[in-house]
Amino acid sequence: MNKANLEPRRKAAVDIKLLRLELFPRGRTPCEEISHEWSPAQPTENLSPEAAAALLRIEIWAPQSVVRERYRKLQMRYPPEQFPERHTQLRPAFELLSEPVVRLNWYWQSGLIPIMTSTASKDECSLWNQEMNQEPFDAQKALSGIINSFL
Amino acid sequence: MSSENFSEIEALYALQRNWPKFEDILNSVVENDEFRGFLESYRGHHDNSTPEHRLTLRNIFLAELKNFYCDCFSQYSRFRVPLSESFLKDFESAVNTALYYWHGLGDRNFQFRTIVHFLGISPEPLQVSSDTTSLSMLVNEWGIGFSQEQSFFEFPRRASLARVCGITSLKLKLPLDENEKPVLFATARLLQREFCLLIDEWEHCNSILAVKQFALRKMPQGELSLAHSKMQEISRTRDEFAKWCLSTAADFQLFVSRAIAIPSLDSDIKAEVKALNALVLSGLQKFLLPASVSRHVYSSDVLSEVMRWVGFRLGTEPEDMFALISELAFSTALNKGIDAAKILHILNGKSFDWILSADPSAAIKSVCWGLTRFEHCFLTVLLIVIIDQKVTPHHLDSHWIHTIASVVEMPGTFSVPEKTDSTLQCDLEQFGLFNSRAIAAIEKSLANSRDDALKTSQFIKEFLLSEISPQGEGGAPHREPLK
Repeated sequence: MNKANLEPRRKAAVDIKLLRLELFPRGRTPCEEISHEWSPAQPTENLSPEAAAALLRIEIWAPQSVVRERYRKLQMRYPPEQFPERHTQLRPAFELLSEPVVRLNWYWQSGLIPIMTSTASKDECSLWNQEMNQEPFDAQKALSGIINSFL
Repeated sequence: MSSENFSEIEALYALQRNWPKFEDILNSVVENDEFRGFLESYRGHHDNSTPEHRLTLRNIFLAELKNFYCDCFSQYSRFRVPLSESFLKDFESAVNTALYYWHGLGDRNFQFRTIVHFLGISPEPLQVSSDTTSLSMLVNEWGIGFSQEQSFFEFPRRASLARVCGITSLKLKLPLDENEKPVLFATARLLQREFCLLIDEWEHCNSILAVKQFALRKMPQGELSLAHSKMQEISRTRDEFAKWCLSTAADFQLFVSRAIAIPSLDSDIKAEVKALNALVLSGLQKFLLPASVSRHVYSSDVLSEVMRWVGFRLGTEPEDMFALISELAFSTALNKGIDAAKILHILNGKSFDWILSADPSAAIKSVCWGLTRFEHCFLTVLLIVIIDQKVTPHHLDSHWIHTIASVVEMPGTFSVPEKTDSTLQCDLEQFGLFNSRAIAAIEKSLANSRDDALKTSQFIKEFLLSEISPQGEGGAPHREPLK
C-alpha cells in the first residue's frame, strides 16, 4: 500500500464515526444523493481503493473514463458467464473506482484524507498525470494562495 | 494600486517571508520535556490548571509572538500609512487561515490550540507597540486576533478556502482548450480534498464546542449567570465558525455551478465536479446540524451565507427541493420577501420526476425559532406534499415528517408574535388545497404505519387541521389572502 495515500484524519474523527453509526442504523440513508455514505452495499468492508485498483490494474485516482474502459476490456476478456468468480471480483472494484463519490466516501468513512496522486506520464493520461499532483497545503503555501487572491 | 493596498500586500509578504520564524516560535514549545506527554493525551481540551513553571515559558512565548508581529507591521508602516482596522482584519484572516494549515510534528492533533492549552494562555488583549505601530493582539485557542479598537471576535477571522485554492482568480477561456481541461479536473479534485478537510475540522471543532457546552450544563445552580454568559460566548464562536465554513461552501458551489455550465464538458471532469457538488451538499447538512438537531440559533449573518449557497445550488439544479425549501424557510426567518409560487408551480405542474437531494426537514427545523405558527404549517404542508410526490418512496420519509412534529411540540417554538407583514407570500386558497393534499397523504400513511408512528401522524394531522379552521385547536386567526 502506498503510504502517501493513507493520511489519517484526527483522532476525534474515529469517535465521531462511531457516533454517526449509532445515529443512523445501517442501511438507512438520511440523504439520497450521497446515500453511498451510509449504505451497507458499499464495498468498504473488504475492499479498499488500493485493492480495487490492483484488481483492475489501474491507478486508484484514474479518471472515470479510464476505469470504464479498463473494465470493459476485462469484461471482454473474461465474459461474466464464463468467469463468474472473476466477475464477482472485478465488479465491486469497478463500482468503487468508477464513481468519484463512492471513492471519496470510502476515504471519508475510513477516516482518511483523500490525497489524489498519479504516477502516470502526460502521454499516458492527459487529464490526470504526475504533473497534476498537488501536495497537501502547508501554512506557507496557503499564505501565498491568499496573497495571490488579494493581488 | 493605491499606496494603502500596496503596503497591505507588503505586510502580507513580510508575514510569508518570516513565516518560518513564526513556526520556530511555535515549535519551541516542543522542546519542553512535558510536551510529548501532554500531546499524547490531548483531545482538544485543557484542564484549568497550568503548572507554575510553564508560566515562564508562556511569557517568553507571548513576548516572541509580539516581537514577530511588530516586525511584520513595521513593513507596513514603512509606507507611512496609518494602520486601518479593515487591513488588520484581512491580515488576521491570512494569519489564521495559515494556522489552520499548520500542524506540528506531522501530527494533525498538534495545532495552534494545543500550544495555547499547554501554556495556559488566557484570552486577554496584549499590547503590541513599537515606535511606529501600536495595536492590540488577542491570542485564544482559535487563533490570533488583531485590532486597534479592541474589537475581537471569539473566533478570529479566517479567509475563505476559495482564496487558498486559487479559484477566486481562476479564469477559464471557453471553449476549454487542451491545456485547461487538466487544470479544471485537478482543481475539482483539489476542492474535494480541501472540503473533506474542512468537514473534518468542522466535526472536530464542533465536538470541542459541544463538550464545553455539556460541562456548562452541569454547573451548579449558583453559577448560572456565569454559565449563561459562557454559553453565549460559545454560541458566538459557533456562529463565526459556521460562517467561515459556509462561506467556503458557497464559494465552492459557485465553482461547481460555473464548471457545470461549461458546454460539452468532458464526462470525466463532469463526474469530478458532480462529486464535489454532492460533497458540498453533505457538508452543508453537517454545518446545519447544530441548528436542526441541537436547537442552536444561527445568527442572520450565518443564514445569509446559507442563502448564498442556495442561490448557486439552484443555479445548477433549479428543481432541487432541498434548496427550494431551504430558500423559502431561511428567507422567511430572515424576513426577506419571497414568493412561494416557484415551489407551488413545480408541485402543481410536472410531477414525480424531480430529485430530493437532502433532508429538507433539517432546513425547516434549523430556522423554526424565527417562524410563526402559520409559516411553519405552510412549510410542513409543502414538505409532506413533496415527500408524497416522490418517485420512489423511502422508508426514512416518514422519519423526516416526524422530526417536524417534534418541533411543533417543543415549547417556545413559535415565540415569534404573529407577524403583521409576513414575507411569505402565497395564495390562501392554494394553501388550502395543498393543506388538504397533505392531510390526505398523512391519512394514507396512517393506514399503514406502525403503532409508535401512529400518534405522531395523528398529531401532525391535528396541527395541519388547526391551521385551516379558525375554530380548530391552536386558534390561528383566519387569514386574508396575502397576495
